[in-house]
Amino acid sequence: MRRLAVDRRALRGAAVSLLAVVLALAVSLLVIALSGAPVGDAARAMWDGVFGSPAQFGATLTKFVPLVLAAVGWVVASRAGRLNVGLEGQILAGGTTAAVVGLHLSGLPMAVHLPLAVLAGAAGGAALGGIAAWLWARRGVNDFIATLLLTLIMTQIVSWLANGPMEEPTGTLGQSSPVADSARWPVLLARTTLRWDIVLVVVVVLAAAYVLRRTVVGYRLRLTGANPSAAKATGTRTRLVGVGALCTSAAVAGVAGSSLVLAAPAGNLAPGFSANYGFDGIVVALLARNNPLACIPAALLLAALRQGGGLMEARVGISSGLVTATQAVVILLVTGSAWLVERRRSRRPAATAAEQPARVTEGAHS
Amino acid sequence: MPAPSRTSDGAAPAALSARAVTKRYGALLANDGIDLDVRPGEILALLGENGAGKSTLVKILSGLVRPDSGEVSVGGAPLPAGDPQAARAAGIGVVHQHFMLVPDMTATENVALAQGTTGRYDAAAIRARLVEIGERHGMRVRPDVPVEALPVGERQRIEILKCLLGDARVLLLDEPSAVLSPAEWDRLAEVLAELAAAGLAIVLITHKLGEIAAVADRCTVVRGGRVVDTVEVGATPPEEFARMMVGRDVVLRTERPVVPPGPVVLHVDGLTLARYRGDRDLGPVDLRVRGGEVLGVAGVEGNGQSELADLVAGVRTPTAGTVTVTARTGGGPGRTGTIAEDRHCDGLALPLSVTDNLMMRAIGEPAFSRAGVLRPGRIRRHCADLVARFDVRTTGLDTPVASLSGGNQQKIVLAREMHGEPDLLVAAQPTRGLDVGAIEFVHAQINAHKTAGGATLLVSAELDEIFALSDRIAVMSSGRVVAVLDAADATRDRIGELMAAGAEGATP
Ligand SMILES: Nc1ncnc2c1ncn2[C@@H]1O[C@H](COP(=O)(O)OP(=O)(O)OP(=O)(O)O)[C@@H](O)[C@H]1O
Ligand SMILES: [Mg+2]
Repeated sequence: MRRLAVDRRALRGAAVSLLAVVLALAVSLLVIALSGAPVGDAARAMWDGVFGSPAQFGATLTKFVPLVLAAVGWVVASRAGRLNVGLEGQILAGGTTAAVVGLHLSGLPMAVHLPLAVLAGAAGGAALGGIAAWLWARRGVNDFIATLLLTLIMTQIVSWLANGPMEEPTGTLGQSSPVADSARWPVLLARTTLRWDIVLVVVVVLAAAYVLRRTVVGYRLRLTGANPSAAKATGTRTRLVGVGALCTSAAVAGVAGSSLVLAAPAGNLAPGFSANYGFDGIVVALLARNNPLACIPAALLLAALRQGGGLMEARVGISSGLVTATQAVVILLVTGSAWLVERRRSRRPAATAAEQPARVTEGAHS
Repeated sequence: MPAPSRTSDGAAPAALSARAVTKRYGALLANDGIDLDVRPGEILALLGENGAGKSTLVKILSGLVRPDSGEVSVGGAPLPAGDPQAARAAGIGVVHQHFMLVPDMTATENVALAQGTTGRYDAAAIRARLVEIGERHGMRVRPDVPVEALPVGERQRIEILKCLLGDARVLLLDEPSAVLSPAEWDRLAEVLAELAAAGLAIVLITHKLGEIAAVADRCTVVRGGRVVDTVEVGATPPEEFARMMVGRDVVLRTERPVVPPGPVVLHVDGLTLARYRGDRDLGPVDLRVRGGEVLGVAGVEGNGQSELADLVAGVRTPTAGTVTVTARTGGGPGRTGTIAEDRHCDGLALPLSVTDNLMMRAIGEPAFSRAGVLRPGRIRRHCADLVARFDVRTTGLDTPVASLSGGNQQKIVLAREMHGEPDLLVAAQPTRGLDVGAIEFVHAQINAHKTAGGATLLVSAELDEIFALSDRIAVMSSGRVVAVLDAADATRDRIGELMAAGAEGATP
């Protein structure tokens, strides 16, 4: 339902973001130089880390998959005005249920077993998100806090499962056996870690963009996020929308979790397999300004930083703290520059924003 | 340096003047070479249709918006464009159409914030000045209560005091009376006259010709972003203003059609709402409204009319009692359309597009989706039709509603809620912020709704509006309906007496 003018704005935004990325990388190198490390080597390591070999590039894309999925999860909830900061926990939940299905069902063809395991992942994520949604809708618990606390609990549960009920037969490794082959994603690029689960990205991103823009449900979701009081007054069941958005968001995170098990080299359940993807997903969504399609380039950037940073750490011996700081610089510059440009370009958006009463959109139960 | 600005007749140097101010939003010229002068001690009215560019001009004068070209000067000295701090320092104070107060801060804190104090500030001193200046001008405010808990009239007084404490020499007021009851407006009119007598230059935007006649010295009329003319108020009859502004004759009074009453559409039984504003209870209220009938609800602001409208519209839940709406044909449940009093809170999603805002209610209709998938072509045609029929001035269907002028935002709500012939129309301040042409149009729409057999519950602070449209008039006081009169028996005096009997004023 949008037109040219908006597209031009989006294009300008993309150009600015790109520029900011380049600038940010330069600044990062400067920081590295100041720390006394060899800049040339560091830059080369970063580059090699991302593009150096098919294996490296495959590894970057492997990291990209759960990042995008988690980001889309965030977008779905936040467009409805809900803050699902517990994506991390939902990834753990989804990975666990996917592992259960992968481990305990056998003799099924892959065409049945794999989709079943992925769906189990979605269901697992949605179940955990559903608890938070219930707490929010029925008990008035803040969604931010509910999802976050459930993540802490889920972390403990996974670590207990991996060291107890689900541990492999020898009982020494602190993780489960690999799931059945029929439940694992086939390799996409030989000699890399990249598997076919990357098609999930395409499906989920397109579906999210389509639903938000083109369906009644998506419309009600955006409306609820934009002004819950007006939505409610005109017949949208905002509470139901909030619950639905939280559950869907969590289901997408659950799918990300299933990938982290079913497409991992080890293909099993190990404590901490969520590896912070849930939180980084939020960063990706912020970079993408809650636009599902923009999550793809944003996630690529973050995946590259993660992957390249890893090699930089290994090869040049830069401390991991510095690598993290570098990533933070990039993120700050990208988000900050977009904001600055928007403010400077004209005072029009600032003026209209100021014209609104400060707290229109905050519902009583936010 | 340009020569010090002089008004056209060269009488006194202008306190504030604008020269050839132009501002374009996309394809739309919001301000097109506007010239304006206000002298010290003068009240200049600014009159124009919804979307004529009045608020845009105010934002330019106060530095909130940077004009594409043109110049603003204060006392002859040019102001840097688009610099609110500089404008404030030069003595320009503004009360915007939509208030700019931080809701959970007190009056004192809001004033301190506006003074640009950073870090530590002397709260006691600011509070003392606020109270003192308030007393001096007869504008009492409670300095220690969070602004969100105060009635609009008091919030507006805080906005004005905020300007006065900032040593404003020019005061710009954008539709201040839109949120006021008639009594509150009378008070404000006195205050403005006093301030002008003390030498302030005042620009007053209003759609009410009576207010211009009452307080303004001169009036600048704008249409489509251009100045049509600036005239002496005393020498101009009201119809002339309306004609200059709209470009055609406006019927200021509409004939009220009389329709044979149909079956009862709205049943209100024992409706009660405990503590709607701190300590007051609403109800119990019992009402019946028939198809083809308009029931007007009159009362002093704060006596429960707004809450009654909210309860009937279903946006608030009553403590006890029921609201039932039946179809105008006599059986089955009926549909309700609601024109919410606070459009920014309950009526619109400001960041979303015109289309999205027009579809809020109709989205569920089978015509606009197939198997849950929207049909953009149909939706656009429907919205384009509504925009044309209700004469919404917008740059496009995809424009965010936040960028529409106040009156045009109101038209969006009207267009949406009147679509599809609701059985009951709950209209709370339906013409607030509309120009005379648009008011004429809305009144005609309400009359058409009535002629078609729909029921209407009308809440309005404008007694004129109540008289113009209502078949029966309910008078509220202290949360109760104290009387329901036939329009034929109702006189201004009688209603005034009933409103005052046991009424608690807007400000305790
Ligand atoms: N930020 C903006 N972006 C795009 N268009 C805008 C913006 N602000 C105002 N406009 C347009 O400029 C025109 C003038 O708006 P303005 O708010 O000045 O009207 P107004 O005279 O104050 O009307 P009203 O009586 O309804 O308050 C309108 O058509 C409006 O849609
Ligand atoms: Mg305006």
